[in-house]
Amino acid sequence: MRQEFVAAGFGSQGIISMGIVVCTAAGLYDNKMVAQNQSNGPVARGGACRTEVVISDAEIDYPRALTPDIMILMSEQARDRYLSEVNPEQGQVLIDSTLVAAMPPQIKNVYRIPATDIAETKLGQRAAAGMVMLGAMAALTGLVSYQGLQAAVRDTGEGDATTVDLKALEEGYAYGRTMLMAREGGAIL
Amino acid sequence: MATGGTIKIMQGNEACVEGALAAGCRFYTGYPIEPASEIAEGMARQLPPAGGIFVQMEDELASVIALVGASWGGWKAMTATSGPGFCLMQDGIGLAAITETPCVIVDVQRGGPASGQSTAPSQGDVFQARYGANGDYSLIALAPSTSQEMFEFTIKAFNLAERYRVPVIVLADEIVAHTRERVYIPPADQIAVVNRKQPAVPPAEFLTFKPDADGIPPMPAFNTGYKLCVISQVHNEKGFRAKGKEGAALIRRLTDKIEKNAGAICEVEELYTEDATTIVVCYGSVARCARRAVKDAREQGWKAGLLKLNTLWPFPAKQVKAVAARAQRILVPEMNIGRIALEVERASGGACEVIPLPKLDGKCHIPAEILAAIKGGCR
Repeated sequence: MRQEFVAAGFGSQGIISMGIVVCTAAGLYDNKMVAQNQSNGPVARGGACRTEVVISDAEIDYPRALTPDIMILMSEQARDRYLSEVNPEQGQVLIDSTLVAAMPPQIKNVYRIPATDIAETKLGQRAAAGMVMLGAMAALTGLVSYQGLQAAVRDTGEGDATTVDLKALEEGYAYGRTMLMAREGGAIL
Repeated sequence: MATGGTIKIMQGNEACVEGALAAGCRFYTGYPIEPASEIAEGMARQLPPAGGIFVQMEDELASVIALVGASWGGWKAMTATSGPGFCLMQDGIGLAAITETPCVIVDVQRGGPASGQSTAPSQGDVFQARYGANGDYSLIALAPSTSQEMFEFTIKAFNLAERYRVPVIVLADEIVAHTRERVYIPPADQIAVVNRKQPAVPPAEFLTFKPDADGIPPMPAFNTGYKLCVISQVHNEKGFRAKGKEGAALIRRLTDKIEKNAGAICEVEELYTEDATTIVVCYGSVARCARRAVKDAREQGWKAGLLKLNTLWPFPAKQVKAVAARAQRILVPEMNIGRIALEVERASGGACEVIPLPKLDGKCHIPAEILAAIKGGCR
C-alpha cells in the first residue's frame, strides 16, 4: 500500500525535521520504502514551508505526493494553500488548533490538536509543537509506529533538543490516544 | 539484497558522497552552488578523516583545473556543481578530454539558462554535458533517478572514468538530489572498483599518450619515474604538439574509445517493452513519473512500455532503435524543451513516431500528464 503524508506550516516551525523524522521512522524502523522531500530555498527559512513523505510496502515510483492521505497543517497560510490537495472524504487532516482556527466543513476527518499550547505549557518550547503533532499522528492514524518515531528522533536529533522532542512525542501520542478512545467511545470531538 | 551492508536514509546528494568514497575518491574540489551544495558539505566532512583532501577553490574554473591536476597526481577526483558552474567548467572538461584524464563531474541540473532557477529541477543541460567544450571529443554521462542510483552511478562513473580515461558526468537534478530515501550500501569488499591501467613497459620505453590495443593509454601518476608530457594542445603519442595525420589520429581515438565501446558502456532498463505500442523513453527523475504512468496505463488496458536510459552519453542508440522497430509511438518526457527527443528521433530512424513531452515550469511531470499522452495513441 502507498500512503502519502504532507506537513506544512511556516519556516522555523521544524516542518522539514518532521518530514525527516517520519521518513526515518518508516524507512529504518517500520521497514517501509520511503521518499521524502521538502521546500527548498528561501521559503524554507521563514516563508511557507512544506515536506512530503511517500511511504509504501513496494518500491516507490513517483516520489511526490499526488493526493495526500494524511496532512498536518500548522498555519492558516498552509491550510489555504494546500488543503485542496486532500480528498475531503478520505483524507485525514491534523491541525495545530492553536494556530489554525477554522476548517472547511467538507473535510470529513479533521483532528484538532492544540500542539503549540501543549508544547508551550508542558515543555516550555513552542518549537516542539511539530513533534507533538507527530506523536498524535502516530496514535490517530498509525501511519508510522510510535517506537519508530522515538528511534528516529534519537537518530536525527542533537543534545537537549532530543530530550525535549521525545517528551513532545510522548505528550502528542498521549493526546492522540485520548482522542481516539473518546472517538471510539462515540463522543463528539 | 546481499547481506552485511547497511541501510541508510539519505538524500541523493548524500548518497553521491557515499558512492564517491566507496569508489576510492579522495580528492574533492569545487565551489558551493545550489542544488549541489550537500555534495561539497558531505565531502568536506568525510574526506579528511578518510585521508582525503577537500579544496574549496575560488570558482568553478579553478575547481575543474584542480580536478585534472589531482587526477594526474594519482588521485581519484570529483567535483560537483549546477548549471552556471557547469558552464565555467566546460573549459576544464575539454582539457580533461584531450589529456584523457579520469575524473567525475556531478551536475545537479537547475532551470536555465544563466542563473536560471536555482531551486527548481531541470534536465536542461543534457546537450551541454555532451557538447559543452570546444572541438571533437566524446565523454560519458549517466542519469540517476533515485538515491540508490546516485550511490551506484557515482561508483560507476569513477569506474568508467578510470577504465576509459575520460571525464564522466553524473547528470542529476534537484529532485533526485534532495529526495531522502533508503540506500543500501554493500560491504566494501562487495563493491567493484576499477583503477586506471598502469604501464607494462619500463620508464625508458614509455610514451605518455601511446595507446594499447584497446585504444587507451596506460596512465602513471607524476613522480612515479615515468616522464610525462601533458599538454592541452592536439598532440602525438609523445605528448608533443601535432598536426595533420597525427592530430587527426588523436581526435579519432578520443571519440572512438567511447563511441565504439557504446555497447559495453550503455545501460538501459526496460519495462513491458515486448508488446508495447507506445514506449516512453525517459531518464533521471522523470523516469519515476513515467514508470508510474506506464504501470497505470497497463492496468487500464493500454499497451505501454518504458525504456529508461541510465546512460545518456554515449547515446544508447542501439537500444532505442530496437524498441522503435517494435512500437508505433515513442513519447519522450523531459524537463527541458525536448533535447533527448532529438536523439531518439535520430536513433529510431523514422521507424515510429517520436513525440516530445517537454516541461519547462521548474516542476517534474506528474504521472497523469504522461498517462494522458499514452492514451492519446492506440490501445
